[in-house]
Amino acid sequence: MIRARLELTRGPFALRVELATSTGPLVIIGPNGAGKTTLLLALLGARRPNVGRIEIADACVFDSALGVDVCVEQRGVGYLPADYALFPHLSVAENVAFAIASQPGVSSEQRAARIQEQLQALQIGELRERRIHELSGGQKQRVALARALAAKPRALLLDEPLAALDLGSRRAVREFLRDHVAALQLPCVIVTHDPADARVLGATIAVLEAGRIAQRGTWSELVSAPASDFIADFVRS
Amino acid sequence: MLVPGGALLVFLALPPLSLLLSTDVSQLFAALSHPLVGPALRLSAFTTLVSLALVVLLGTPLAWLLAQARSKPVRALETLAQLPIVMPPAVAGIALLFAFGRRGLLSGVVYPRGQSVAFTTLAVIMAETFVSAPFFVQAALSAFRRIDPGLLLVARSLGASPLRIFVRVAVPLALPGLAGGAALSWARSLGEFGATLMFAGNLAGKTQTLPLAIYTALESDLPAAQALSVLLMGFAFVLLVVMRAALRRSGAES
Repeated sequence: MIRARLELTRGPFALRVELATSTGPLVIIGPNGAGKTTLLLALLGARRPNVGRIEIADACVFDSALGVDVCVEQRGVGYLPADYALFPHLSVAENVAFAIASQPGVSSEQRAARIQEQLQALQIGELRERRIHELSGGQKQRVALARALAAKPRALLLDEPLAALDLGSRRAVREFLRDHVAALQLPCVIVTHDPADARVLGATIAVLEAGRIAQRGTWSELVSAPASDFIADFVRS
Repeated sequence: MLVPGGALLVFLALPPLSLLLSTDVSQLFAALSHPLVGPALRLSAFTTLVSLALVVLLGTPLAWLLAQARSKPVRALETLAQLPIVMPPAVAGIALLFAFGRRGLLSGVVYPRGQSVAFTTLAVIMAETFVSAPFFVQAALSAFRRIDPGLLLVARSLGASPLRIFVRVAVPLALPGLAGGAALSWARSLGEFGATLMFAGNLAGKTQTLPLAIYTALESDLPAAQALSVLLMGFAFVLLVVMRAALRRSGAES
């Protein structure tokens, strides 16, 4: 579960958002500059809201009134930026190992087993020893997911998870992502600007416009009663 | 364009070429047995390697801290760390005397019994470290700044400690830039003359490094000075090639 109510101002821009999601993905759409990435970074702990409260898996990680601000390292939130940010100097297995080695009290056998388990769960066991630059976009996404999940996160944030892929591979990767995220039973926030992503990935869609949530609902609710011109154009494209 | 540009290039190439062309190999080896050469060679190798180790071990964390900070006072500290680059070496030598000399600012604290580090081998190492460290710190700083901040944020989200991020992510990714900076810094400390002369003197076997031995030999034995110069130039050229290769790699990978 993620529950957040926050206000964050930077210069003339103001983000004022309330959102909640249990297990399963919440998809955030919105025009460029609406504050989608800023919202993700606030949930992650990399941007500090001026006021508000953020709860992740029943734990309060930020509360301006109580002076709580759990740092990124301890929030236990998996984060995939649009370019996946895989460590280019490490192999696939080493990328995943990085997430496990950060946890105390894990033996090297346990670590090797968990790497293998994680890679196999994402059907990329055969990529173990590959270097990052040898991977396709879809493979990179799976490695990034494996790495994030190896840290046993309590929630997952994905920023434009399909933007780095070419159109040809996008459909297959999108469907894999939908099925895999659904199976995880983790609260998950996905930011996208692609209507197809929103339709396929999101049970619930929140539309962010100029820092506010303009509408919230399922794809068919957005189609039947769009609350703004942006939403009407978005669902039609 | 061609004439002024070409003129400068010829002017830059002529002195090293002349030095090389007027040296014959047998004369070079004979001159290397000159009594000044052995001790100066050993001293230069020892002091520059120690100062290189100090510069890398202390400069890498400094550059990382500076690269991560964004505030104005930190920018001022960065300027401070660059100051020795523009400081004339002789001035650096005097400044080192005023800080660490027998009557320096710290003399009462560091030398209660009136002795001083000036005019010792340690002073040579300090002078070399002082003049060469900024070159390394600058190169390391820009190598660290070229690292994609997304990588560092993801590393934090995976629960990695700052030390782990430094060791496992930042240093490996900045390695070509660090190597290039180390080569540049080593070349600078090998050539160090002015600050060493002022702060450490010119004592054979103790503070007389290769550049000072060249200066001393020039008065009595020109072939020895020439041989040492060829030696230093050759090594500096190797460092230049290493540095350019390393910096090219760090640029290509960013």
